[in-house]
Amino acid sequence: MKNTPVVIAVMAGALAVGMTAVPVFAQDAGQPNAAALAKLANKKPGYSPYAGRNYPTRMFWGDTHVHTSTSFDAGAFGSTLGPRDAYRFARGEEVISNTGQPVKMARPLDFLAVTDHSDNMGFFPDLVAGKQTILANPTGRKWYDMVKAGKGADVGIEAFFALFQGTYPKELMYNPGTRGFRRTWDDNIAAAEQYNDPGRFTAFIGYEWSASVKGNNLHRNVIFRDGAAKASQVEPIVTNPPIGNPDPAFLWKWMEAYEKKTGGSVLAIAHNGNLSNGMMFPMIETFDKQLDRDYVETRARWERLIEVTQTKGTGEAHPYLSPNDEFAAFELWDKGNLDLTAAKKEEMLQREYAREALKNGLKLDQQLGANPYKFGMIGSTDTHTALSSAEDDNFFGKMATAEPSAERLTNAFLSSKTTKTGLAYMDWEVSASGRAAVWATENTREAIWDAMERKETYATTGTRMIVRFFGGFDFEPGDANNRMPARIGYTKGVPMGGDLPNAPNGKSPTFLVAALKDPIGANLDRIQVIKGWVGKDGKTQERIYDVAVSDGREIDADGRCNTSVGSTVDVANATWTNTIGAGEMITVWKDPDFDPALRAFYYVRVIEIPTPRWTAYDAKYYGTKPLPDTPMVVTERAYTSPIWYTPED
Amino acid sequence: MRFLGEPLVQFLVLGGVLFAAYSLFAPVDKAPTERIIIDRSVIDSLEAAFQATWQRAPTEIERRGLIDGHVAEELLYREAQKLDLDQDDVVIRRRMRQKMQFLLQDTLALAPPGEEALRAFYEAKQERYREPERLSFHQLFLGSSQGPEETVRWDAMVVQLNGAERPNLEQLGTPNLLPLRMEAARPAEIDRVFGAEFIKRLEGLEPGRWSGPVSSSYGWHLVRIDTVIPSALLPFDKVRAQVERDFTYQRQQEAEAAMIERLKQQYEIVIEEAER
Repeated sequence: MKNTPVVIAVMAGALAVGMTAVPVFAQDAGQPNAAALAKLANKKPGYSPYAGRNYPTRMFWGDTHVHTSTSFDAGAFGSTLGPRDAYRFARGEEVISNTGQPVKMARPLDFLAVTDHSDNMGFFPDLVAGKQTILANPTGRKWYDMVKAGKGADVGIEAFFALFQGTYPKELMYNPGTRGFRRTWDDNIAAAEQYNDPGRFTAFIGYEWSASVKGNNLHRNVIFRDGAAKASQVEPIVTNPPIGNPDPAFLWKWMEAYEKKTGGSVLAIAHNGNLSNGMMFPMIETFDKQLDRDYVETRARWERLIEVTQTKGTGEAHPYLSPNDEFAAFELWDKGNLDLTAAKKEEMLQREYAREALKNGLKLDQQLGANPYKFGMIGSTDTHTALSSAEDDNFFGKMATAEPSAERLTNAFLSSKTTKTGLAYMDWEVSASGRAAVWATENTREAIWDAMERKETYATTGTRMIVRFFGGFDFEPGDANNRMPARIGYTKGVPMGGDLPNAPNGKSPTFLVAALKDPIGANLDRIQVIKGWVGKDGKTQERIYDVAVSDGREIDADGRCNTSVGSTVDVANATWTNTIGAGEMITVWKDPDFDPALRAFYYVRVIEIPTPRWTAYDAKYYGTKPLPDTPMVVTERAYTSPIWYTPED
Repeated sequence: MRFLGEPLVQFLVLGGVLFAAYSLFAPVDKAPTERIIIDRSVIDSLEAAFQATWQRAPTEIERRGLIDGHVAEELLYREAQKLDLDQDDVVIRRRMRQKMQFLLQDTLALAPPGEEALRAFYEAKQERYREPERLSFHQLFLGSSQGPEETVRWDAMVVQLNGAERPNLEQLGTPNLLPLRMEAARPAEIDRVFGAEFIKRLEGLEPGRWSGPVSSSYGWHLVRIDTVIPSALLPFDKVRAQVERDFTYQRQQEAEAAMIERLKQQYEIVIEEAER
């Protein structure tokens, strides 16, 4: 199979994998209880494989992190596309990019959240006058009648122009004595309402709370389960006094106040711990306060997911923390904080990367009685162009200034001339990465949000491979031969994001793992289970197991396959072939080193065979020469939410 | 820019900077010349903003903080204006542009499109509102390699599947994550699961019978088409919301373009291209 840098046109609006939608089994945040599962497991299935099936059977793809021209940094960088353009693009329509280039996704997304920065969204109450105010003004009355009498845009424009020939009724814009304007927040809500199309496309209401302390990134995206009726009752919290605060504890208070007032639901997704210079996952203190039970419980309640990969780097693991992980050095951004005002020190890394935080969370659980870092995994782009693009053969950059051009292989993203530290990021370091994969029952705000809340999600670096991951104590090797892996999975275990029950005497956890390559993407190299735990000595540990590998390679006694899958990438032509790797993999794996007395987590990483990086497509298309050290090949991957094991006290 | 290196120039520039800094930070002994009035309506809107964020009224201390913060902002805003700091600020310019777009949007919103206009739009763009032909089908995945041995086995499977006794589908084929059946699926949905062009290979298969093998991006499949739902134009009432959204979007785009055109006529625009 050859891949060419062609935008594959598919029909707009076609979104869901067309399987029957059924009521929800684990729609609420809880987990199925063991007794109910045992009952299901003992029941002989009827003829129809579908009867009685009520678990999430559908994979939905999306992006929970998209900035539009409403975000002022995006606007300042030349982004002119607004939230409506973002939704149209995600639904598969062709749009004209910020730099005037036609662009379309190879495949539409199922859901999207526009998350513009809350700061500078305009936080005065809605002051755009209603009809009464306009009608009370004679000019306004005349003007209003004129608009009403007209039929099309022309008359609207006419009236509009009449207005600012010195006859503008001020009442239209300002209420007497107040100083405000239509809130961009209201407009973003209105856009989400217009494009939300239950069953076909989900447009989430959301915003980014963009706190940073001396340039250390503490950003969180806030995603609403609710529609305008509830969301428009509130203003997003900002990050600066007097109303806001850069301490995440204030964000959590705001979330609680919102839920209490409206009866709605919100969750937060932290991102770019890699640019936090050690502040994202504190271990001892934060904002001059010791971590305590209240902190760990509150954080776990609101921060259900981590955006583990995006355009500004991947934050799963770092080679310094995981020296035995040959796949850890992936699209790293580890020179400093968000604005490169402070350089990175090695000791900061342990409080920045997801795997380390998962391990440290177990430790805090032991110390304080709750795990603040019990998060699921999701990927999203953090695009500032309104265009959610994470595909290497169709990458439209992070900022409008880095949309495709002959210059972007050599331009600076953040120039050393503007940073005190003299550090820089180049445009080629920007990663075409970040897709959110969610197992849900149907394509609605409620179903997808609920799946995020229960962490039945995974992150990918742009590819759309399908991954299933179930844990329990009763999976047998034969389960990998079952024609309905998901049914066996939900019957005998818990899905990604779940908790293993207590270990039955003498039994070790078993996992059913399956992956299917992206139907228009590259084959798979291997499936890995990554285990983290706290040893008897109180120290955190990790270990990587290769559990399924392609091309008949061997897995050694140490649980690793030490033979590389190879590469078919032709960098000069930006192509590859699926002559190596496997289209699908499924296996049952049992933890060979289980100790029921120790806290542990398990998550899955699926690695694709190497493919051309976006830089290779650029070099080919523009005939430009990349700078030395520019990577031209990428191994896309997926990271699932973990499954946790907690011993009974 | 050689003169910048001259000691005298440096002296004068430094002196100017020091003087400016002094006048900003030195104690003031003259009477105020300007007035900032924080009246009830300003305080009301500050409180309303706090209330909207926190879902409660501010405490007395917080209220003080809001007013102090507002005074500080007003002072700096006015001084910044005097220094022309609002000039050529890209963020301020974009906000102004956005405000104009909102104004236009609000103007247009006062005259929402009538039923007639929407219907005309729908008639003109019918292809957008057409539901493509949809398929319900079952599939069995066979694997990715095909040789003479497989061909014989697969042919036998087809016979068995089409026979009088319906075999349990779960015991046939190769296990993987592909759905055993899809229901009323659009072509793009099917291709999203099985890879590009799979739908084309289903054309011409006899409905109600197992046939194949058919190739996908994963390998080979046996397929039974259960039902074919013909393509149909969706009735206006069903897609009204979508039509309105498309119409409004287009109208806004056109109105914005018209606004720019109109304004261009009121200005003489001189573009001085750099000499090449």
